[in-house]
Amino acid sequence: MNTNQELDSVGIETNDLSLWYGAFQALFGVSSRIASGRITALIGPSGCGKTTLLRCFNRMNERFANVRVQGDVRIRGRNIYDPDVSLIELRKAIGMVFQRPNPLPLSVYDNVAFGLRIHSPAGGAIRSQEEEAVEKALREVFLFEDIKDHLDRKGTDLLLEQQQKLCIARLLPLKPTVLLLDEPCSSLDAEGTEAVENLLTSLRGKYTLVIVTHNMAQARRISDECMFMLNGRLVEHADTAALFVTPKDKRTEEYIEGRYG
Amino acid sequence: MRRQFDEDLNRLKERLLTMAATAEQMIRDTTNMLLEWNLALFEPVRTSETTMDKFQRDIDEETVRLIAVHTPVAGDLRLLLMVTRINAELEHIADHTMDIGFYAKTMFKGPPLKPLVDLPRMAEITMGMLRGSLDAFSAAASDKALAVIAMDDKVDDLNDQTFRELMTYVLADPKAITRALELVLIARSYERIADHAVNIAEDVVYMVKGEDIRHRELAGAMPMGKAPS
Repeated sequence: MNTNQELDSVGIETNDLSLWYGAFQALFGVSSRIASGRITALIGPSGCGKTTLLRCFNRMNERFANVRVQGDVRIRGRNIYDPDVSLIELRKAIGMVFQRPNPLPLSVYDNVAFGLRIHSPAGGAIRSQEEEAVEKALREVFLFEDIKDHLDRKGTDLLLEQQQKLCIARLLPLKPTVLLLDEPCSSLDAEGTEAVENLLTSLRGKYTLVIVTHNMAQARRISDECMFMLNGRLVEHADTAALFVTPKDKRTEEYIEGRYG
Repeated sequence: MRRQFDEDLNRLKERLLTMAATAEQMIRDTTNMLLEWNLALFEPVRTSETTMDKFQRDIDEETVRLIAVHTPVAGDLRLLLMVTRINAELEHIADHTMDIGFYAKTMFKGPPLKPLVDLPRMAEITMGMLRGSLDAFSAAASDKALAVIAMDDKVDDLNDQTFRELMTYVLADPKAITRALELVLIARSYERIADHAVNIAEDVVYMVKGEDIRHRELAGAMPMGKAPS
């Protein structure tokens, strides 16, 4: 049984987690403890299962047919695969950001207010409270000052980097504990990448962030911990600095040195 | 890109090994000069000193270039960091051979105080340690590096023994003090060269295993060698 202190320090825990897409096994007995409030990067070659693992954390894989999951994923001590877990509540608590920014074809304001409205009881939040929450979220992602006079602009008309920030902002009013990011900078240029990385760094401590990245330099720059995966298995999980200087496993070493994949 | 980097790394390692071979030859020539009691035999050491300085600059420059171009991590990063450290150790070793030449110049002004028995033994072990530490580097073998570290006690013992013996000469004949002092300093230089070989061996352990074994007493482990006497 976990103590409360342990629950507070562990953001996400997986125990012997395996996953199959039909007959194909994509994850093999992954056991891990992802630290709360830190940025953890999932790294590994294409097809190693890192995105699959990320999607297990909000049960996103269930959208695909023939997916079978074994083992458990615990967030604050609770197995999110228990039958009585509400998917709606789960996805409120665990936000996700994708490779390409995907704002809704609505105004910037409505994009951020959207989640709040659909998750609020009938009648919705009072307008003033809603405005406050929208401003707070946009400030938290450093977007408010840039677009405060254009909140009625379509979210899809913003710069890509701003769109990605908007996609992060719209998760925040729902007060998530975990943010899952699947290559959030892969469609951005160097400047946009830096802006989003700065944003992620500023969210450290407030949320548990898990980021899938192909970019080793990015993993080194922004993550506190790294998990190296290979062929559906978790090979090594360590503090980023330790993993990039003194990896314990030969396979990790070969991958980060560019000798593999 | 990776292939180019591997080729560059191999070339850099070879250059460091050539530098180490030069340092070893300097110790051999220096020892020969002492045994033959002939300062003229020191000439090649002087020439090599300039070569060593050039090696040091070139190797550091190439290391910086490789770090800047390839942003190495893990084993590559540890290798490059240790190459610059070993490079500096080798340059110190060359400096110690130059010191020995300087002491010999004064010492050779008088007749030999005593036959040199312990000094050639010290020189032999020290050269063996240097060779061993570079073999360990070349083979990335931490066990070989640890074997070098274990040899250091022998050199320390010989150094202590030389010191005690020379003190008896000085007590018997105070006029022998200058020659005795030069010999003490020469023995001390060999002992320092052995210490640099130990440093190289420690660098190799870090390079291979990522484990810093210097100053182990800090971590509460057993002190590595004897306390300096």
